[in-house]
Amino acid sequence: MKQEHDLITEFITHMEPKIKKSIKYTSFQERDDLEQEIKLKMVETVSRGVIKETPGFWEFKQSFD
Amino acid sequence: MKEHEDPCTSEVKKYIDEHQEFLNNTIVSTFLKDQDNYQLFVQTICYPSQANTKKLDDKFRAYYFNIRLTTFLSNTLHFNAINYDKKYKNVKMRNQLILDSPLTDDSEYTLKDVIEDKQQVSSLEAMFSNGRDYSLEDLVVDERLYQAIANLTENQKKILNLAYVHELSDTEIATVMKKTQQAVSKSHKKALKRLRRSLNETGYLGNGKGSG
Repeated sequence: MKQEHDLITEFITHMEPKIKKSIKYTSFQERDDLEQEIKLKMVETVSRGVIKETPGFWEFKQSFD
Repeated sequence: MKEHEDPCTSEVKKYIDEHQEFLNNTIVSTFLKDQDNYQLFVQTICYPSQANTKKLDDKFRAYYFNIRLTTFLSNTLHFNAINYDKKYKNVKMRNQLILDSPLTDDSEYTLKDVIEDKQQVSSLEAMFSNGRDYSLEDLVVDERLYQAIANLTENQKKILNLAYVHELSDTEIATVMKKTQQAVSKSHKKALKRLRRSLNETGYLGNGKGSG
């Protein structure tokens, strides 16, 4: 759980520039709201486990053989 | 470290040649661009121990997961932003802050005509209260109760009058009297208590059931 929290925090910091760019789609007054919304969505995405099994190095290699 | 690597070089080269396609994959090649990862890769090719294999596997898995999540997020992020804006615009369209546009296309009323004016209501209430110019005292038949009411303060009488003759709630009384609801509640309770006490003193409540 702790690890997941760290992961999410790291991601949000990592994605900050992209978020800043995305909120330009909406009007000035709404930007803070949207930013919060987006971050919430990101947390949801990670905690819901949308990205499931990721292959390891050898598994990935096998898909090429 | 260096002398370990040298006998390895040919083996690594051979491996790279054999798995061209795999290693040319964008994800794999960027993964190996990292110095640490490459070192680990070379180590694993030369000394394919359990530990090394697993380490490389895990490292790659984490790396790949990162990439997938980032890709996924940056895609959804973009659409989220657009959707949010659409939603906001919709809400704004439906709840416009224009007071004097017609309610429907051919309506003669505008929004400002149908807005409830809360202040207006309370002053109407006040007018209405003045209209009923009989007070609580006028309605009381019992002499002892009348006496008890007469002993209350003006403020308490007014509150009881509004509460029982005009049937207002404490909150409404507060608006009419320009006081806080808490103050009104308190005086209201106090007035009732005082009434009860003076009725008790005159023995009204005690034998009221039996004789009255």
